[in-house]
Amino acid sequence: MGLIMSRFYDKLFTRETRVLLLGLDGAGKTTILYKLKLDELVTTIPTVGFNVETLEYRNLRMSVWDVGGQDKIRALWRHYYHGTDALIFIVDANDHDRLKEARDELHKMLADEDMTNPVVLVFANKMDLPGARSASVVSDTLALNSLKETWYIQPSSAARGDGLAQGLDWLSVQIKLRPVKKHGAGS
Amino acid sequence: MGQYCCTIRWTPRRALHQVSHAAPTIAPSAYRLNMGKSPTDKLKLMPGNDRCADCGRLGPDWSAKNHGVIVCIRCAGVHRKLGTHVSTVLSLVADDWDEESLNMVRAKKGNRAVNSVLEAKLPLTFARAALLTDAAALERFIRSKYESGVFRKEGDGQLVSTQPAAVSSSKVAMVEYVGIVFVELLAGYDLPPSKACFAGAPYVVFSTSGQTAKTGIAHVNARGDHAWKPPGKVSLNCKTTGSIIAVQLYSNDIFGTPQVLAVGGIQLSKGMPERMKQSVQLVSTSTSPDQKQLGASKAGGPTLEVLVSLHIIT
Repeated sequence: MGLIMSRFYDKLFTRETRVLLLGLDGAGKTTILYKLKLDELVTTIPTVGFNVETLEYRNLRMSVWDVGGQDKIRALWRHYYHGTDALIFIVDANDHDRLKEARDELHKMLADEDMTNPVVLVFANKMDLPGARSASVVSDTLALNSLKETWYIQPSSAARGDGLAQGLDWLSVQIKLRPVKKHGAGS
Repeated sequence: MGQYCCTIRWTPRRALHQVSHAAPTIAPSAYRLNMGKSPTDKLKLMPGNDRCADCGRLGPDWSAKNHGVIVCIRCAGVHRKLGTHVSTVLSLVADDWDEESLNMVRAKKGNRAVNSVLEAKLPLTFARAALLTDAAALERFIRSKYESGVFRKEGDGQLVSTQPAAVSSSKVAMVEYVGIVFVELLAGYDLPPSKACFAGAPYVVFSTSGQTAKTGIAHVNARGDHAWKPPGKVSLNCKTTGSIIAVQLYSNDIFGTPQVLAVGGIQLSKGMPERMKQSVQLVSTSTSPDQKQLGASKAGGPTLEVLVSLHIIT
């Protein structure tokens, strides 16, 4: 009976948050996903496809989608936009030459009609590398001030595990503040 | 022209020399057959580019473009770890190349020429084959070769010591996929009924290569047909171009364990159109003989209507 009630309760009240983890190739998406999931620094190869994991964080249950960042896979990102509650956009703060490319991709995806006003968490990643730009420089280059979405930028180092928890803390507060979205069929 | 060049390059003596340092994963002839005429395919024809510049694996299709080397996907993963100030990684197939990047690689004249500089001091006894299986040794070698440059003519030829950072032995992010398939479930006809008391409309689970994805629950119309509106859309990674997606129809029993009502399969093939409507014939798993007969006597039997889009990236 207890089991039945708890199942019933789950069906009524548990809301899985859909989180998209996107960014240019080599920004650290997969490394961050598994650092959060396993608390381990895994060795990765470029993701020619996607990874999806369920994370539990402070009463939040998130399905986190990490889709590859190479040019031809970026064209498939839009298939994952529908029903997104939160976008975690990861930027390699050490890759100066491609910050503008990252800006263009971020603004393009947020302009898509399937992306319905997600909260946006930006990780300025690879802060452990000597040439990493500061979060404020990354924020300016990405033109975050011009976004209509609620956003936050968090410096991070997936290799050291720095900044990830702070970023998720912000995200969990924001998601609890949001009204429940009605999702279509499909998961 | 490209293929012709490639053919005459493979003299038996050279082939023997090339094969000596690592176990081949695919035959050289198969590798040659995959050659096209795109600018990045032509990069593969430069001397030494038929093998990974670092571990020697055959048929590499990634590049650390600033060094002008062609490497395999595993070594590309290690290069990315060094930071873009050391190595800038692009895929020969999954990335769009501009003329500047192409020229950067062309100017270095291929893996053999680059390695003659970057591996000038590499001991002749160096066991390259060990790099194929030992991830820690591979990272140590790549850091020594590119980050520290110890095998250059002016280097000391000694491997640098590895970083103390604890690296997981987990292989979760080391799976090699070739692309993504999307399946949109539109409708179901003549689906077998569930015997559970509290069963609602069914849902479908698609699975391939150890991954599973579940659709939402169907709507049932007056004729008893099932529809998914919006379509029950799922995505799965493809490990090979010829995968089969297993299809399982589940009863949606609110209080009990979900049960498989029927099963089927979708065959993927490289030549299939990018977005294709298919009817998937299901076989009922019901043990009841009269139900089996009912299924057999009907023209189509249980059928799901799906849209399949296959995106092969590499």
